[in-house]
Amino acid sequence: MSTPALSEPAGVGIHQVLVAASPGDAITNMALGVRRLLRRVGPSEIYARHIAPALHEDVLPLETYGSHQPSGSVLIFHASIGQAEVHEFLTSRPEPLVLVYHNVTPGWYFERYDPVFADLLALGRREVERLRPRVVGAIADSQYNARELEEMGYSDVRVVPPIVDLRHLSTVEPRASTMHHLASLDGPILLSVGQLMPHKRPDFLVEMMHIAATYQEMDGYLMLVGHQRLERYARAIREQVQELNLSDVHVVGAVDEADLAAMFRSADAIVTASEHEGFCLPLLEAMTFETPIVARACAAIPETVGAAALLLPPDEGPVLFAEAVTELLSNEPLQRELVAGGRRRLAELERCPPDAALVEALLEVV
Amino acid sequence: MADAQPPSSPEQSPPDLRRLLAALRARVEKRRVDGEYPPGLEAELDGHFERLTGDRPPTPSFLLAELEHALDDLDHFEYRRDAISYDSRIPGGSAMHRAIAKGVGRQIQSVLEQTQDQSHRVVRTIALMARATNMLADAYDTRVIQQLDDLQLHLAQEQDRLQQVLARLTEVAARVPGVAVDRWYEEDAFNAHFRGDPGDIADRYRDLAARFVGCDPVLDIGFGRGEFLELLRELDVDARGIETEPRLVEWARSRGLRADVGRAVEYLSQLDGASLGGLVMIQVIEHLSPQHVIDVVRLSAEKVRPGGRVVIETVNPMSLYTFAHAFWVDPDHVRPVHPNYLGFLFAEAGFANVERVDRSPVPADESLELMPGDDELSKRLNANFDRINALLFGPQDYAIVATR
Repeated sequence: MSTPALSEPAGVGIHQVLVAASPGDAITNMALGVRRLLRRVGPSEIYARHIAPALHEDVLPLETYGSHQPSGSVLIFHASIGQAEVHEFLTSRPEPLVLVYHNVTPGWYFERYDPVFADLLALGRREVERLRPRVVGAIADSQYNARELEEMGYSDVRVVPPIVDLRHLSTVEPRASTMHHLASLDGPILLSVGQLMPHKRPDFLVEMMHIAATYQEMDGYLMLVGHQRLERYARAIREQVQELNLSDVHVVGAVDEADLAAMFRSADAIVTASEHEGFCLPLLEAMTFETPIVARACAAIPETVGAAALLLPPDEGPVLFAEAVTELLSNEPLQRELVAGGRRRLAELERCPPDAALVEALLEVV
Repeated sequence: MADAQPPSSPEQSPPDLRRLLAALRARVEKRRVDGEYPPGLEAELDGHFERLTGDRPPTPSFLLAELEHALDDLDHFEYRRDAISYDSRIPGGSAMHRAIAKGVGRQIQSVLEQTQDQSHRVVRTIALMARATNMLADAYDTRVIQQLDDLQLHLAQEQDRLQQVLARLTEVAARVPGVAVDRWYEEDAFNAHFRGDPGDIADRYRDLAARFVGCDPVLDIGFGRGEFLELLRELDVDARGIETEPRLVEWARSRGLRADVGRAVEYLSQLDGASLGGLVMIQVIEHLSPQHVIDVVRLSAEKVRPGGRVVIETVNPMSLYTFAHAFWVDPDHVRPVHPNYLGFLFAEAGFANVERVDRSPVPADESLELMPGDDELSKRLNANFDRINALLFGPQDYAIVATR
């Protein structure tokens, strides 16, 4: 690993800037993927304002980015939440700046749970708008995100799917004990993967399970897997499960790859009620496990899933969702059709590898 | 809620998926119509979750469930050698760490097993503590709930009893003269109808007022229309009065008299000892309860200085005529006070001189006329007539004039 000493300025190269780097985070994962790619052609580092301890070896503190950079470098900024110092850094640097937009969740989803975080999200959106004069090229990881950038005044936005190894999780050895435990359950397993956040609407899925159990006599399990960083919201979800007496709904929390692989492998269907996704990687992972999906047609989800999911209109409630899930679990031709749709969608993505698309986009920009 | 229209939508799904969606919607609609889904189901569920997201403390059962989950997590946690990081900042450090770890693998395994064992014991201990706490809480709850139940039952019984007492009190109050009258007519109209002209009244009391010369300051309890206060003013006697009716107080003040709202016993209680030179109550004592009558006498002994004077005029119960005329006309009269009893009270209270003054004789033409003759029969008849006249047509009022 060619990590320079922290005090040394980075060499001429294409470097990436993030607000925060943490393991398992989609943006960090993508930055690591991009760096792997860029290092094939020259020096490339990742700089972040906040770095999780586990990544101290991999990601450099933003303040170590030398002020006397040799000319010729290019900066790639992955926009997420607002951060005044990062914004200040980006506007003060002379290097050409490429913006990669992964979408910023609208702040209002968080207002009642964490007003400070809600403000940071709103600031993140404003900063993306303000950066426009500095940006020589804009890249979005979905059509949906590209359209948002265009609404902010950006033009010629290139769409490059996230540079991540979609099949990585399906190659991970699933934890045997978890597989064994899940196999012992006496009903279909629905899996939802995503942080327990308001815009992901796990509450909708819990309501759906109540309806399915009460009015459709479905004996299924729902596993809600993902970080619970917003304690107040996560608590409300756990209380909702408890008060609706849904003993077969499990708020699992974050799990490691071996457990996640076991869950994907054991799931009968992947469900998401998310209302705001810039891409939604877990749905592509579901396709690699050949698991059918039920989702709401919100934000970038329809373009991400293609024909791999039974998509429900955003304005429909959990009753229709419950009917759809019950139907899917009993309708094998439908399951096969969705799995086939997933295979086609993966092939489509793999036909034009994002690496090449990104290089092409960067070359065009720089 | 989507921020913008997605590029593809359910309508752009393959045709069979679109048909399926239409079928699902129709199924939902039919079930709603058939009553299988209760109306407002989704809104009710949303409302339930909305309430959970508000600011409120977690319930004890929720906390217990959380504790159980946490214990379960702890119990299933496994120490794994493969989770030990061999990362290093030193060049080549990772390989070195890995090599050392391999070398001491057995020892590490042994440490991990002991740690795992200890962890299980800790979990067991915490679980036991949780159970013990639960049992204590249950026992406490049972006792507290039992006590609360008892208390509530007791409270309900007390409330019931209180209601009965209140009802009885209302009933009794309604039967006590002078207490339960909630007048709907004007007091002025009553006075104009049954009492004399203020000028005549003033004349009737001039002699009593004269008794207060040199007895400043004088308190007139229940001054009514203020005739006695005016007589005292004419005599240059320093006087003030109290009345229960604010309207009468205002009226007296408008005529330049010193007047306050107040009740006899309460007002007297607040005065300094021996601070009065005189105390007068004209046609008031018959409005007081027996307890207040004796309280007023006791208080007058306290508040009137030695040498001071108390004049109490009231209806004379020794004249049966009064019961046929004045006394029961006023619904506020509680009971007549016998002159002998009142005189006794003042003497007992320590007044030096207690004098009874008969007042308001019955008009002569209303009493029994004596026989004109001087014969024995006429004499005997007249003696009987006198006795009957004294009993029936004795003075309508009397005053106790007591000197301290």
